[in-house]
Amino acid sequence: MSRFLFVTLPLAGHVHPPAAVSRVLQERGHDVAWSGSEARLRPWLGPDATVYPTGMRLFRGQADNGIASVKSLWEGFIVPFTKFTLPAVEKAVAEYQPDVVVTDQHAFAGALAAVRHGIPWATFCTSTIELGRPFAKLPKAAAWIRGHLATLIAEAGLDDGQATDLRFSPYLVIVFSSGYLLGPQEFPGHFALVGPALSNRPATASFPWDRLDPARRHVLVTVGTMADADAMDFYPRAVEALRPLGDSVQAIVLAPPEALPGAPEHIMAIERVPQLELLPHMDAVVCHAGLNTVSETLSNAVPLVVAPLTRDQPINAANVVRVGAGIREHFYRVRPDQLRASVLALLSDPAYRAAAGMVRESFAAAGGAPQAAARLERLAARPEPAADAGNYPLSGL
Amino acid sequence: MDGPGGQRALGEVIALLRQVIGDDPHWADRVTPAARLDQDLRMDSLEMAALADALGEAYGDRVDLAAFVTGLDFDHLVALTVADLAAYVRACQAGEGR
Repeated sequence: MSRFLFVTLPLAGHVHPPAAVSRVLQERGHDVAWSGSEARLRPWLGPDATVYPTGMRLFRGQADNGIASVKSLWEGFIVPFTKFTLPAVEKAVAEYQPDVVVTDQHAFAGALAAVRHGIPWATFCTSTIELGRPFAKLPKAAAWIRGHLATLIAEAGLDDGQATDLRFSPYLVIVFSSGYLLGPQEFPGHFALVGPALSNRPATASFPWDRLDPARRHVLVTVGTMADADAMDFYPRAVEALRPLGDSVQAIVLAPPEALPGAPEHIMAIERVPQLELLPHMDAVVCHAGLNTVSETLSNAVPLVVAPLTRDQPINAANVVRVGAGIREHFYRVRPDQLRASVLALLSDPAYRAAAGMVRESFAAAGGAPQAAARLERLAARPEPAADAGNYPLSGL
Repeated sequence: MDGPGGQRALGEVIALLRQVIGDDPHWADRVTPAARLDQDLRMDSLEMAALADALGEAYGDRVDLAAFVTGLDFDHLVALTVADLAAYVRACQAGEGR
């Protein structure tokens, strides 16, 4: 039996995949504890999870878009969050005495605490933002990020020889996607592309199943949990796109009913749904291309219209288009008639669903949460950094 | 931007941007000299690539948007305006005139 300390960010997309892995580890007899905001983590993890609380405070810059979002992600969230949580994460490591620290790629306090205590650590990539050299063409932006990393390492009393890149563990990097979807790029051997980790997530919302009409096709529209007020403009356009399709289509829009005034009968506004249970009933999904929604949708071989907003969403959208499993639209500019044509294309052309099925197969072959758990077990048994770890990062830094 | 050359470059860049982001007046009307490509016009990487192609077609290799953007630091990337882009085009033209 081994002891794993999971350090993550207080955001749904950064908690669900690790939580699936933690359940597998526990089923295999291991012990898992968490370090994070208890108020945020507890509803997702349930009453039995061990949580070493870090406290929570609000961080600005969570809703920016475009290039500005990368800057605010670091200045407004990653860096202050690391500094704010580091003492509590250090305390959790000291008290829990884990064999392995498993930390979200951007929860640097986990990496810093593990290095400072000489404990092997693994990285969870719950987004694709650092994969695929996103800053290869923006060297000054890359240098700016490198500067932030160096400062955090120095402020923790470490030198570059002990921690070169907090985003990528030299022991094990678990990526919640497949090589097929991520596209042609080389990853070192200590990268485990396990696909999405979806197993056994408890449903947290109910759904009026009797309202689903089996005679019609079904479309889910969601822009995720981080869309800003400007993005709310997307809902009325989606309603107009779907309005004439009532004979053949029912749509579920993840929004409060007041966001869709005047929506016809076949367009249901529902604020929270059990997404994993709902997706098998869907024929198409319109979304912002967040990694979790894309992965969960493709796990059901359902094609997507992807309208990315920020962060890694353009990368995910490009991957969906590259494998032929969907159509990309501009989130702010797509007009209702164009959006309608794209949805109808997904519903009428079986090639999209077939391409989504190929991604589903790649996910199944990648192994999901059980494979992630197996790699973590192997690390606990043989904690050695990869010989070629220094060959990473890929991200142009 | 001073002089008739500068004004001409600004007008041309605005026309090219409107081509790239489409003819929806909601967005076309936002293409003003002070508009930022990132935060105001919401240009994504696909549109930036289309803009680079359009600039190359209009002005030839001397206007290289990718190289221009590569030289910018984060704050300038975020703050890049339509007028900045026109000034870059104008500078490329002036450089070639020497």
